[in-house]
Amino acid sequence: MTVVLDSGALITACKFAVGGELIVDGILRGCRVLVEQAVEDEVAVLGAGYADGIAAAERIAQGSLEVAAVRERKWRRHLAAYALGAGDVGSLELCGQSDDQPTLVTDDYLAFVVGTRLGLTVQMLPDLLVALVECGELTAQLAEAMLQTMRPRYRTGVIEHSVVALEEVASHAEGARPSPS
Amino acid sequence: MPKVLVPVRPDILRAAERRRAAGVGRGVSDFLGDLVNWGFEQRLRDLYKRFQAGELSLESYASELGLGVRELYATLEDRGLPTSNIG
Repeated sequence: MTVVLDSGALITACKFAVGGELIVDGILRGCRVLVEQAVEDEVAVLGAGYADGIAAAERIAQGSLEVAAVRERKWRRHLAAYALGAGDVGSLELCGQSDDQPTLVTDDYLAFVVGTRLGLTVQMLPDLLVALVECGELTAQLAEAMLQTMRPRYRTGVIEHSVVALEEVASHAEGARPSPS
Repeated sequence: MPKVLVPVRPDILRAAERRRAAGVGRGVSDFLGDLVNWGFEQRLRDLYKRFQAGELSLESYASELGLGVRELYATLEDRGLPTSNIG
């Protein structure tokens, strides 16, 4: 799975940790993670005064978070009138140019709606954690702890929804397991 | 703390000087500092309503305030406000 994290999602993923492990590192175990250049500037350069900015910069320097440039701005006219930032626009364009059709991960309503209108696959960060449990890259227990730790960054209902989705994933996995004979 | 130049209407400045002379106000620079803070808080709240309504993204919100995204994230967090506007 390849994902593009926008600035808000990247900050949250680099800020919150469970058992000493940052959420971004849990994501990196199961995904190729791309960030657009303007997002790197906002989070890892301008945000270098914050621990999460340093965490992002370290992972970029190590190459585990990949910074990618937009080669062609094919949606310039589509996006021109929206109140989006450079990182939002870059992240959307990046998803549109990559051959492996990455998922845009954003917790921002406008970016979510615009990405959906452009035909991209768009997910909130909590839903990415559920998807990683579904494909066996994270345990449900760890994912739930991650969801709970980042709860204050979300509106009421978002984390509760993801916890129910996690329970469903765990229940399906339990049902698919062969019964002991 | 960085120094900034803020143009202020003369009548507001005179009012601040009168308040200080009467012993009911603090120094003009403190008064102006309060004005700037009130203005920032008001703008932060007004734009937050638009952000919550999905009219502008977090990045665009930060840009309108003259902040970086990370600074706005911290500003909202300090006030106990969500940084996500979905849901």
